[in-house]
Amino acid sequence: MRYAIAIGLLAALLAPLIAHSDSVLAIAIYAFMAASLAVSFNLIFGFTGQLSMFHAASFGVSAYIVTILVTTFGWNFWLAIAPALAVVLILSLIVGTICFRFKLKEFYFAVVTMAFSEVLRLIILNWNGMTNGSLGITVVDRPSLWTPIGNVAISGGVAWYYLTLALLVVVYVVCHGVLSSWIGRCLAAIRLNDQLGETLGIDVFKYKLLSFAIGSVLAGLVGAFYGFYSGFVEPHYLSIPLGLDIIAMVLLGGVGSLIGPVIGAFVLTALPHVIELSAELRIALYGSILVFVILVMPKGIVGLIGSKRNAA
Amino acid sequence: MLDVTDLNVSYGKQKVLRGISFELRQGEVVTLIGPNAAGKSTTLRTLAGLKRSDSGKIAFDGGDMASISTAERVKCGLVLVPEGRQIFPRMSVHENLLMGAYHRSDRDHVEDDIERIFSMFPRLRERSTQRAGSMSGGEQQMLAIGRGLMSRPKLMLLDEPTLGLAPIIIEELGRIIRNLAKEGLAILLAEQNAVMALGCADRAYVLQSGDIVTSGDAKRLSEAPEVKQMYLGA
Repeated sequence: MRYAIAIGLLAALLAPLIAHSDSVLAIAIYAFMAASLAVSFNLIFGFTGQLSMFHAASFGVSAYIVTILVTTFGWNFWLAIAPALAVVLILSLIVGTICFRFKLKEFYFAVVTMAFSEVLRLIILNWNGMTNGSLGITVVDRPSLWTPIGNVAISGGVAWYYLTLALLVVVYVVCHGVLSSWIGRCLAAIRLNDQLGETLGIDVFKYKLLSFAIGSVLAGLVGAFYGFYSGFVEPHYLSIPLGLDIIAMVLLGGVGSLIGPVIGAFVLTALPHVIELSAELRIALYGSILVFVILVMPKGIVGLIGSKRNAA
Repeated sequence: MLDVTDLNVSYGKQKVLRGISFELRQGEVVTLIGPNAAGKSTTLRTLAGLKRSDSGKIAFDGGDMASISTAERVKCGLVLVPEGRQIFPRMSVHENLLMGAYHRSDRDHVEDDIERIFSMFPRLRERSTQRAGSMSGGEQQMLAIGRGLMSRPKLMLLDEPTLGLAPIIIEELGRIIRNLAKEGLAILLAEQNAVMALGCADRAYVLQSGDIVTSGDAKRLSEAPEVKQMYLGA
């Protein structure tokens, strides 16, 4: 698996040399960002067992804060990321503390996080003066990167390709680091049997909160970049359908693995472009894929590859 | 080392423990015997901090336990091996043992401790990489005890360890408990199997509907007519 990931990364690094088409690059860029969201979501969902519906909210809130700081207040893009992530961190700590103190599990946790997420969406939708309401904000600025030859604006497909690839690598490495440390063991214990974990002396509350906060902040990191590539931020970024898309990517790719959600994100981002579909049909396709995956391959694409290899 | 005074616990309106008091000294094996629903598991769960008490004092090693979390109690050296051989069935034996040592700061010595547990339970060493769920009930119980030992406890709370085990395994379990006590570990054993419990304990408390009805030397109790009649089937 390790070699497969290394080869995949190498291929991703070299791909822009061959694929010049802007539309291919754009799909890859969106897929990298979707994959970053899916990987960070899977830390909370797949590895800690908490079905968070707050992921899109973390993503959207951060996207709004960075955009507003840059376009309205004239901040430097990179500087604006810090307060955005700080706000996401605080929000996730508040929501997490409430949910985990009251020991909300499974669907109760999902419903309560969904409610918090909706509250944030409604605030953004109605705070016209700051967020421009349902119209959203158009982003024309481009982040620039300081280099020895001066500031270079990050514009154009190839620059964004490498930037978002780097983003995915950062998210992946952070999650990998968390999961391969002792924290990962504690998260596994909580996922498998949190009462037993508590008996063994694991501070279940603390580790659930830690996982939720890390995952949410990483989603915030993706949000910080997203608006600057897509060119606008809108309340839809915080919506439940976006949260469901992330779940679909994770389920399709493989819940129990780190690389699974990356594969799932690529398939679900590229699929609608490969097969031209209207929005309604796309949702129908998502539904069908989810049903299919749950029935036929509960461990996702990664599980299918793994079992084939084990059988051979 | 453990001093419980006037402990009251209830589930909702149902009173489960009605002001029980008992004590336990270092290296001592004390058993709580009694029928189903007497409050044995509740006592252990309350001591471990998994269940809140209504009132009463739990003093352990000189400190007051009542207000601190389970995690902190484990750090103080008070660990529960829960009922029903709870292990992580999909993890390997080795990983299960690691889970017992998670909070320790001296992680360098964890492998030494695993080695020590393997020499205590040679069957676990043979199955070190095997999935824990694929082992026999007796082996799973040994693993649960071994995992409890990984936290380097001073007092181990054992909840119904003989449940559903073959007589020969139960005998072995009794020997293991005696050996652990010889090394200085205090053990509080909650058991329905009074023969086994009175056979390996120093002292015993008989619990009935949330009250301690009799207590004393385990050997003496096992000969007391009322205990004999009720729990030993004689």
